[in-house]
Formats: sequence, structure tokens, C-alpha cells
Amino acid sequence: MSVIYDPVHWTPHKKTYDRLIAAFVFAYLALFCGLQLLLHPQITAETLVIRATGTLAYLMLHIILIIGPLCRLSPRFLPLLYNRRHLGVSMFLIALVHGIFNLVQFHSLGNVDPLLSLFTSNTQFGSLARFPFQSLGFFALVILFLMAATSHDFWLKNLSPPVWKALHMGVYAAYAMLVMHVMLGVVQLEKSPVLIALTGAGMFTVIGIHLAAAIRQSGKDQGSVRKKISGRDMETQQQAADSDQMFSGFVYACEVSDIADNRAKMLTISGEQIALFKYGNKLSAVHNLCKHQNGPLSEGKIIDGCITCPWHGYQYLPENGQSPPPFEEKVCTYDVRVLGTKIYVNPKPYPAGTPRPAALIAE
Amino acid sequence: METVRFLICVFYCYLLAGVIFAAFFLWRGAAQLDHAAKGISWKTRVFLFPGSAALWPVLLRKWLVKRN
Repeated sequence: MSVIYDPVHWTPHKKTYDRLIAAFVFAYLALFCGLQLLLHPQITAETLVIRATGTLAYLMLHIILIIGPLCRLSPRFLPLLYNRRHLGVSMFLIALVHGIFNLVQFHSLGNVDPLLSLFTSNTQFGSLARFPFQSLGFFALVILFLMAATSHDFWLKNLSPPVWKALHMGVYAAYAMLVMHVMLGVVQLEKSPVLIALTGAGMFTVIGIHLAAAIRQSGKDQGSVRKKISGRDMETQQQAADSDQMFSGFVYACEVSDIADNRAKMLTISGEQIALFKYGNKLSAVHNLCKHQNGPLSEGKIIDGCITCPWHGYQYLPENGQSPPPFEEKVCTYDVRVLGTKIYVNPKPYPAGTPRPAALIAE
Repeated sequence: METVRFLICVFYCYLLAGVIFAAFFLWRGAAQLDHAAKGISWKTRVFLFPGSAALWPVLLRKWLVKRN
């Protein structure tokens, strides 16, 4: 949310996050190298670097992949999400060290171009036991590079959010290649059942947490999809509609007491994801997805009078869906009505940034 | 072997073109493509350099469309 791009838009939270990443990286490297030297006293420095950076980057990739679904399972994990891009770039840099050391140690000592050596020294693509697993690591590293290189907001804006998102979904292709890279590498070079079991456990953890989050989200969506209007609600709505056309097109959302002050409830009505906010004695509804990186606005709160996205702090005014000047992001708005203690929302969106009066809650 | 050699040669040419393009783009083009990139610091340019070198055909097309 910058008028002019900064290299990094620092906040105290981001600094703490980065310090924790650095502490984790150094602690892991120290522990891993210590253990390796203890278990394999003859190990060379190059091999130590390759192993330490490879395992660390692989572990960090698992953490990166499970942060998103963990946040959908519990909002307690949200602080991990706020600066995930720094974790991603750190992971790529560590993976790059791993890749460069591999290229230098195994492919740069002859008179053949290192990349040519990488792709031609082993061409047994038909054999699982001798598959050239290093090439998989190379392609995964290329994807991770593209993601790290386009992590700045400049790219989000200039590639457009859908293209940027699609590019960054490439992490799953990279992960699949890295699972094969590690599995085949372990099978061919280490032959350790413990390492194979650890790799498998990591993969099943990632898949399991993603499945759990998907099931949870699906349940939430069904729960909030057009809450079946009970007989009484239907009657109330019908009476209101009959007596006054103001409720035409509106759908019952929830009770006023269902939403905490300065918080929101996420609604899915006719396929529209809507964040319904309560602040003071007012109610406003905006589209649930932040314009920055599709963060869930309904999981954010009202800070300084603005809806604040929980992911990166992008802000919008609840009554018009516009970011406060000089920022230019806008989200769609919706009409909200209150009848007694019941809230009704019209799922027909207004164009992004259209002012809509807040519904007032009777004292 | 020859096919791989050719593809790697294409890859190196792509990278070289990307590096040259990125230097020029971040000097002149970025601000024309995106007003928020006007007057960005050299640190920001360094951050944008790898992506500009890698995605230079995309940026070149967008830049040309914007100029025309």
C-alpha cells in the first residue's frame, strides 16, 4: 500500500518476523552442522554446506506451504502469514546456495559447461533407481527464483493479481519436483530409511493440513451459504417485503449479536464472498477479498475507522470500500438493512469503491 | 547432447538479453509503465532487477503497449 515503491515496507512486526527467521536459520545450521560433524567426522565442508542448506530450504518450504491452511484452521497462526514473503525469499536464497554448491562441486570441475554437465552427465530418465534427480532440483529452483524475484508489490500490480497469483501457485509444482528430487536423491545416495520416512512424513503433513483446511472451509461455506431462512425469518422478511419494497433482493445474514464490535462475519451468498462489518451502531458490507493478495477481509478488524486486512494491513473505508487517500485500492460494496435484531444483505455488488450508506442498528 | 547444448545456449542468450533489458528498463522504463515507480531508490531497483531480467518479454510488451 505505497504511493512510491519501497524496497521493503518495514513495520515493527516485520522486523521481529525477520529476526525470528534469522534466529531459526542460524540455530538450524548450527545444530545440523554440529550433528553432521559428530556423526560423520570425515565430511567435507562442501558436502556439509550442501546438506545443511538443502535440508534447511526443504524444511522451510514445508513451513511456508502449511502456513496458509493452518491460518484457515485457526486464526492463531495469522501472525505467521503476515510476512510469509520474507520467509519465501529467505528459503529461495538458502536453496540457491545449495544449488550453486552442487553445481560447483559436481559439474564445474571438468571442461564442460556446468549446465550442460548437469543435464548430460546422467541421462537415465527411464530408470527410477538412477534417475537424474539433480535436474528436478534445477527446475524447482527456477520456479522458486521466479517467485522470489516477483515477490515485490511492483510485480503484483504490473503482472496483475490473477497472473501473479497463478505464477506463485507454481510453488506446488516446485514442491512436487523437490519431493522427487529429495526422495530419489536419498534413495540413490543415502539409502537411509529414516530420511525416506522423514521425507514421506513431511509430504503427508503438507497434504493432510491442506485437506483439513479444505474440509473446514467447505463446511464454513455451506454453513454461511444463504442461511436457510427459518419459518419465522421467512415470515418476517416476507412481511417486510410486502409492506415495503426496501427488502427486495435482500437475504437474511445473521443476528446483530452474532458479530463482535469492530469485527466481521463472512457470508457466502449466491457465490459472492461478503465481509459484513459491525462498528459502533453501524453495519457495512464489502467484498471479502483484499485487492492486494486476496487476503480475507472478514478475518481483519476495524482499525482507525478502516477495515484492515489481516495479511498485510491494506485498509478500506467500510462505507465506500475505498482505501483512504492517497491510496487507490477499491473493493465492491453491498447494501445492508437491519430489521429489529436481524441483518439482511443484498448480494448484488456495487462497482468497487461505490459509497453505500451504513445500516444503523437501533439502540 | 546437441539439442541440450542448443537449449542451454538459448537460455544463456535469454538471460543476457534480460540483464541488458533490465538495466535499461529500471533506468527509464519502469516509471513510464507504473507511476508509482517514479523516483524509486536504487535499493528498490536492485530488488526489481532479477524479476525484470527474468520476465523481460512480458515487461517489454507492456512497456511498448503503454508507450503507444
